[in-house]
Amino acid sequence: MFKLLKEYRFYVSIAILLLLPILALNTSKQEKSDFSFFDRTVLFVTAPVQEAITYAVDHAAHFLQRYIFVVNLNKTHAEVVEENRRLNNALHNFKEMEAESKRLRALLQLQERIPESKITAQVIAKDVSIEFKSIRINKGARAGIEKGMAVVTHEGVVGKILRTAPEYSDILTMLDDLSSIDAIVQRSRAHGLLEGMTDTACILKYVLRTDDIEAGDTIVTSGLDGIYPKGLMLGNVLKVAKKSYGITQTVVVRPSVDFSKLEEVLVILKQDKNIL
Amino acid sequence: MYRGFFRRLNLVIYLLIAVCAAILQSTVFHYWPFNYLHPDIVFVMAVYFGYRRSLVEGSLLTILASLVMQAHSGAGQHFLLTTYVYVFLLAHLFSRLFVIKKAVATAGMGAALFALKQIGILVLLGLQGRSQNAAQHLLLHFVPSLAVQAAILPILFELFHRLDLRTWSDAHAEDDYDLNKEI
Repeated sequence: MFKLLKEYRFYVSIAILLLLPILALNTSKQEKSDFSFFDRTVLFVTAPVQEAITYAVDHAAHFLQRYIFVVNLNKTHAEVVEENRRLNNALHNFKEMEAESKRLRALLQLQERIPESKITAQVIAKDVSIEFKSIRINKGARAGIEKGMAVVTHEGVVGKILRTAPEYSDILTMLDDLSSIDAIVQRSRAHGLLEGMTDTACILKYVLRTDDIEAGDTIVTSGLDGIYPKGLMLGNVLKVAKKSYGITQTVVVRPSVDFSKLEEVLVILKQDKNIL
Repeated sequence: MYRGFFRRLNLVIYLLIAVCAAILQSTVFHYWPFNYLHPDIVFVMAVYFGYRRSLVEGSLLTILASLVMQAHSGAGQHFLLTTYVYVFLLAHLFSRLFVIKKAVATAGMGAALFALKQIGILVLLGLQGRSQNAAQHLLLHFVPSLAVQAAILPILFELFHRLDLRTWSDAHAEDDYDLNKEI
């Protein structure tokens, strides 16, 4: 038998190499596994380098922007943009409160805004391939982060924790194809599932044809998936596509978070029901 | 004496190249202009191993390099391993069908393999029920990525070949086969 194997070792090797990835590839299981021992070993070597490179490149870019171009004007512009984002978010929060009151909720006592159950982390790296959109942050299990926790910024939802190592974590952003966030339209309360599509757009699926959605509408989290607190900003509607047949319509959404400029995120450590 | 040492070092060197590629592709290559071009160095490595190395050596190196990339990606379990191993097998098949010497032909082969790789990724994503959203994103990046892969393949091929000559292959191994050599 060994003689036979030796004689046909080329074909046996080809068969093993063809079958091995198929057996290893977990096509039935949607959830990704945590870091393996090999992954953690590689991470131990590469993550500090990634952090250093990201830090260096970001600061070099900021230096160029601040000292070579117009200094004061840039500073003022950045402050105004930041203030504008903060005010927009506050305005969105007030609109959400108003909508909730108008629906005459059963609960009379509104929960206080969530205090300090969040942890700040910096983005140190992104996905190595363009087909997938995950990012890495510099906080991990030791900081209390667990798989499945929501990640946000002051602009809105970023994603959820995909896997954790002791010092680092990977985030599955809302732009990734595997990401699915239960969402509602803030104005009409139409319900759908927000999935990732490209680097700058997501798609809101399974929205009924009869639901009222227009370009410019704000999309927020519904809180029904148990991952994201209710009322968090997801994005704005870019385009609504209704076919002449079918029971649903397709909505293209621009995320409220600018992922190309993402530097810091907030990880919500506790699963609170309402943000407001 | 040194030859044996360098041959053992060859695996370590390629592993370090894969680690450096993972670091670059996850940091620097997301800034302009690389975010539109996004070179895939491990893809080039897989093609090179398929073309210039034996089945067992090349597959082991490809699997190790793809596992390094897998640790830095949000792709599904063993997704990148599957992708790169199949690229390696296709390149190995190409090596048995075509003799490629010129840089232009190398670039063309790289472009063809990259196109097949992207189709393979769509098929794998389709098996996971994710291809509907992924197709649009892949198409957006297809042409620039194809051009970049075709451009860097001949350059990296030459660099890897020189590395192998110094650490793996014997440059004078075929001297005895020179029929024109005077006795």
